[in-house]
Amino acid sequence: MDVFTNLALGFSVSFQPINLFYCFVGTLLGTVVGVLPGIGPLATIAMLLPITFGLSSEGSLIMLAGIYYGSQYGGSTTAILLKLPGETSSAVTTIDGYEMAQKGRGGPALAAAAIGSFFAGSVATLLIALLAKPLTLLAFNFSPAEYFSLMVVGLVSSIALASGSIIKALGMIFLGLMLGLTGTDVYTGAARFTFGIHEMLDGLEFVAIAVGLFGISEIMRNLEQDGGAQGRVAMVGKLMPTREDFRRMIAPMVRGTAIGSFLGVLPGGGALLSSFVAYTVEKKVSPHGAEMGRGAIEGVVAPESANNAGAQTSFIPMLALGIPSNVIMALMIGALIIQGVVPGPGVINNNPALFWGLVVSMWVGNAMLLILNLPLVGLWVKLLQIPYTILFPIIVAFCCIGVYSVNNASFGVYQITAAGLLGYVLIKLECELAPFILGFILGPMIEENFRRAMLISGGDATVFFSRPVSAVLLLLAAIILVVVMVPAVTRKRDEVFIEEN
Amino acid sequence: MDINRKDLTAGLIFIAFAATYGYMSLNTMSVGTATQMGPGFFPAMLAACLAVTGVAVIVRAFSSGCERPFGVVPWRAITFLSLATVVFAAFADQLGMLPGTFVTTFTSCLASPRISLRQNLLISICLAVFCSLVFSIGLNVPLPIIGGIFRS
Repeated sequence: MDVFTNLALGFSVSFQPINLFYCFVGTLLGTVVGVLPGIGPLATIAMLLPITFGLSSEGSLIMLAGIYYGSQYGGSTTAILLKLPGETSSAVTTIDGYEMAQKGRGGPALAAAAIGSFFAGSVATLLIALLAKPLTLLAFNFSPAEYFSLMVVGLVSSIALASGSIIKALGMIFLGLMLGLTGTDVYTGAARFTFGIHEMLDGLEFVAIAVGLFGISEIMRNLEQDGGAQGRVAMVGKLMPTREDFRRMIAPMVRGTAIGSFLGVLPGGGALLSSFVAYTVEKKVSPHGAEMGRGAIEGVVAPESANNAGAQTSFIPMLALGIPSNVIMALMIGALIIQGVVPGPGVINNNPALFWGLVVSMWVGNAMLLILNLPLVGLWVKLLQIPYTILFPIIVAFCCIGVYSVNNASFGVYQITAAGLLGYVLIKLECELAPFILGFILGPMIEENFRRAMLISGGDATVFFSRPVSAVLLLLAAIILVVVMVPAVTRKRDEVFIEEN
Repeated sequence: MDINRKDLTAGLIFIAFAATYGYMSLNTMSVGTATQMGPGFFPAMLAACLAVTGVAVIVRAFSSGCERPFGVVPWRAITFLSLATVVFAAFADQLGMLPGTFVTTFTSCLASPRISLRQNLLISICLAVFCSLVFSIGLNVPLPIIGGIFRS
């Protein structure tokens, strides 16, 4: 069986002491930063990205993946103990998690989140191992037309996840795509949108833009009221769930994992959508559904399992096709490119050690999280109490130094300033940043494939509809767009997002 | 008539970007043909899409019939946070890691009225030392601890 040889290779890579160490450092750092209130996985990865530059490509990806699910997990801790979701995907966890913590059952809630995440992570890792190869083979049959259409699906589905106005989200995609084209045109060598600035010939710095949009503008928003005051940390109480808790956790955990694994693979899917859907499903299906919202363990374990499974399986399109399905994967692609690895179907064949090492290290990282988090919960509670007024200057300094070290040049740091201001204005105007950043990273890729497809077809735009796979993908994109625009659905969507507040 | 000013502003921003980038794509780059696209072709297309979206957002701003307030604007935070990053960008090379981080942190602390001058100095000094140890010495970020201007 092929899968086992591959997994064996993966184990041999990820169990090298040095990679185990990177994985451990990644999960630890991710958790530490993710636990800090107001910093989600995105800002965490963007801030810590420079630390990985000096490592081997395997080490760097393993560490980044560790940072990713570490911070994802850290976000759940703040959600449960502080009612402050570090990132949107743990927003639903706050509902029952904080309620449990108020009743003195914060410990079991944290344990449920950790155990659910570990289970989901293990299943999702296996899924990646099974699915990646066939998907890659499929990808080798893709022509530029199919790639173009697939990216359109990804962009359109990012709208489905935007909580605000659909038309503004659409505008943000176009804006992101356009700004993403800054720099030298690969075909003609012409300078585009550089405004005569020499440094901009290389394009805008992705890391700087992400840091500015999601780090600096977030601080501005946090300082809007009262210069950054913060809420009270709930009590943790006894850590271990009771036997009854365990019994009630199993079914939601399995359902959540299934939902998350499936939704994570879809372009535009991932942790956020997964956790919302899992919570909604649980409310309908579970015999304890009526208790949800008032501190039911199902309301913690189901979305936490789902968002971890979704977070993990969203690696599949990134690794197999080279297309990011969400913003975090876009950052990962940025990191890969910095490492000199061209993401896409070639990676699995040209660099199997990297690929399988990463897959297995995800499982290892999840196991580490479980071991790391339960005994150390007291430490995390301490971290949660660090006042924001001390945190935000640290974040600013780290962001500056981090972005400086990407190219060892100041120009990127100026881009943080610009992106921070633009991001803050856009947040204020209720424009979503996620579609923007996804457009930004996809801009060059989508243009290249569009141009190639048109070149091959001799300028005939019907090529996107005459090739069956491409046509199906575009049809899918159209359906998604219509569905999210139908008012009835919009209202439903609003309800889901209102619950978040 | 109530105008949704958030939508109106967003629409105007979209159109401003579309106009600038569209103008540049059409006038400063070759557009080419559909078969042999020049560097201006795809961005011009995007600018057109963005312009249409911008108009749609503005139309909606006038028809939605709800006023949305902008809310508090934290001018102080915006000013000092932006200044902090600019200060780092402009002076880090000459100042070096230790003084550079100190100045940046000091500036960013001014963003919150809750930080007193004493706290500010404390945070800034600690962070400057910490960053010098971790980044310059530990991770070999090629920014000298003390920059050139102190050495001449």
